[in-house]
Amino acid sequence: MVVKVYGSVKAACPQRVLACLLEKGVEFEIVQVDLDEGEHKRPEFLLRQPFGQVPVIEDGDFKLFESRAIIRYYAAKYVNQGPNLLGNTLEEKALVDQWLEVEAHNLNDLAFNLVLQLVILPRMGQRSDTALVHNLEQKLEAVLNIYEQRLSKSNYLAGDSFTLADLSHLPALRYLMNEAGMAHLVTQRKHVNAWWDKISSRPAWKKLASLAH
Amino acid sequence: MATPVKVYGPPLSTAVCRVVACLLEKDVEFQLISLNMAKGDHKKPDFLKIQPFGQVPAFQDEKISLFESRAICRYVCENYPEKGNKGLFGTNPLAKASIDQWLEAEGQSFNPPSSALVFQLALAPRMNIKQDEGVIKQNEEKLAKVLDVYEKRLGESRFLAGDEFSLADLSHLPNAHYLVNATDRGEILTSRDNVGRWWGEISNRDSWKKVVDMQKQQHSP
Repeated sequence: MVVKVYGSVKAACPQRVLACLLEKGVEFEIVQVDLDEGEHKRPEFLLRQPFGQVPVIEDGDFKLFESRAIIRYYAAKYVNQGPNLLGNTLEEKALVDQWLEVEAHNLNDLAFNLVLQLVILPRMGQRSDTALVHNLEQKLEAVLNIYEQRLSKSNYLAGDSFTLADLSHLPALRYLMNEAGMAHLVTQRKHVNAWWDKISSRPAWKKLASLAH
Repeated sequence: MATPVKVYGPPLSTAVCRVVACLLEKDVEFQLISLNMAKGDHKKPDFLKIQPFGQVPAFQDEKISLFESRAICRYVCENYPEKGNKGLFGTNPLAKASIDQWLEAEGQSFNPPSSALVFQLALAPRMNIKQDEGVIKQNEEKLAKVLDVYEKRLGESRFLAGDEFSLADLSHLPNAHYLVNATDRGEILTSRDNVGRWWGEISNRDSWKKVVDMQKQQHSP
């Protein structure tokens, strides 16, 4: 049974799920949802994902939304297939959850709003707010300083191995470093940069990047 | 007897209460070590060692030091599966997936606008900070849209993730409690039939009543 992933291969949240499925060697089919046309706000889509967001998966009769819930589910279901993305002990798993939450609550909004200001608004012919961009950048610098500290003691966020915690950062950081022109945030930090190189060189991520961009 | 686990942070903090509610549901003994955030306790070097982002709560037991309230709750459920409410985080992968889904929905969709409203309406006045009417209106609209989704869901399901109370419902208690009890906008929850019914059920749990008592004891006028 092939997992259907509803969303766009270019959108950050579906990418989080696709990266996980690729790492775990789980077959999937992308069902395009045209965000520009507002397909995600139409009644048929709202039956699948009531908040009108992507991604949502369908695996036979099983449906699930929220990318970080989806990756937790598949990482657990296929724990013995492909790399173990959850840690080996309860304590390691707790650290994976901790850094997943950090990404969700301390980094994601800053990254998303920077991309909105620097990439999406200009594409729509709207002006970005320079003061806001500066403010967001400063806050993100402060957050990444803490990542620098962490990654100077630990190869990956949750420990010695690549886990969901690292994977979850890939989509937003890629957008920040490429389209948003904020690569310096990563490259100026020795350990964050080394970590980024490692995680973004993984075959699964490279495969996804080639599908998407 | 096991050493009580430690939770660091003030009892009035919503994120701290999320963890305390979970520990009470799971019947896990804990010690709450309060912090004076007005005095900057959470930004001092000793605290930054256990929570480098300078936020509350932080958690310690014999095996681990952790932060992020929702991560702490998941760990408590997984580390003490046989204690207290055994089904709080589900007893099989599908149940757990549904709970994770609604826990994420809480964190991504319910938390931002409800936190903003709690800050503007309940906390800013206490801290002598001027309220921002624009921010209030914007977040009321955002929260209303989210609660429309909840209203539909809770018409089909007794609790968010299914038939049983779970971590997903629990995670909403702190912000919802403030909205209903410390602001004049509580009807955003209570005026919706299904959300109101759900709020009544979850806020009446013994564990939550204990959290509210704990807050009352600590609150100094």
